[in-house]
Amino acid sequence: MSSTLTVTNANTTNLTTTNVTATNLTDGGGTTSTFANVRAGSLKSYIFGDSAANILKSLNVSGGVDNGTGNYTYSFTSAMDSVNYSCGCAANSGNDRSAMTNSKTASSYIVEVAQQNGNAVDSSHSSNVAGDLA
Amino acid sequence: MSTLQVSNLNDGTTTVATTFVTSGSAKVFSKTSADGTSITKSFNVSSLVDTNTGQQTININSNMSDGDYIVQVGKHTSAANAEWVQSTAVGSFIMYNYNGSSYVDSIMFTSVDGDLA
Repeated sequence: MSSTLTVTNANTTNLTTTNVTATNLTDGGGTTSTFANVRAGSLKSYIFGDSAANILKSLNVSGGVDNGTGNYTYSFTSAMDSVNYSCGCAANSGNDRSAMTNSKTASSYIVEVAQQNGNAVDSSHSSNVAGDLA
Repeated sequence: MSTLQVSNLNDGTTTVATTFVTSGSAKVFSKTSADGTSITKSFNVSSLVDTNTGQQTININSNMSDGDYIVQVGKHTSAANAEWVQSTAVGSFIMYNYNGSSYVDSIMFTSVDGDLA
């Protein structure tokens, strides 16, 4: 399959449609990616949560739960296809803190935040999820 | 300037809602030198500041919509250092690398997700 859709009009250059199937996607600057890379490489979920699992920013997240000190569960609105997804995370406050993910399922995962001495600690944090939706 | 508004994208095999592409694409990424003076690879980064030992500030070219964006940070070292991000503003954030007793320089990686202004 190879297709090119070019939208050019000096006055009105907007096109609205429901579905597009194509091989490549080229931006206005001329840089091209395959649709497969764009589709698979786009994050399927992310969260920015505070120290009590209140969600400040999210994509495809139905809710957060504060399980205890430095331990937070986030659930997907649309589930992943399996537990085999990539999930990165980071602590976003204080100092001497690292974050990790745990207990991944197709519908949720846990973010844990700890100090270097191993002690769990409450902290704002962020995480993102890449992979395939169910 | 043209806009193509689409609900779903299909690569020939699999369909995904365009929301995941627009919202799920990284808005900033960077790889920076250990001394905090040079940017090795970046997207939507205007400059790098060596704020202090083990502390680097990334300035964003096109601002984020607010400070509540998602930042992932990593470091290129075998040491069991802790790395994190603070001071997330619409146009900048600071990366930290700490070995348990002091801040230390390291090659740093970041990616930012969320909404542009």
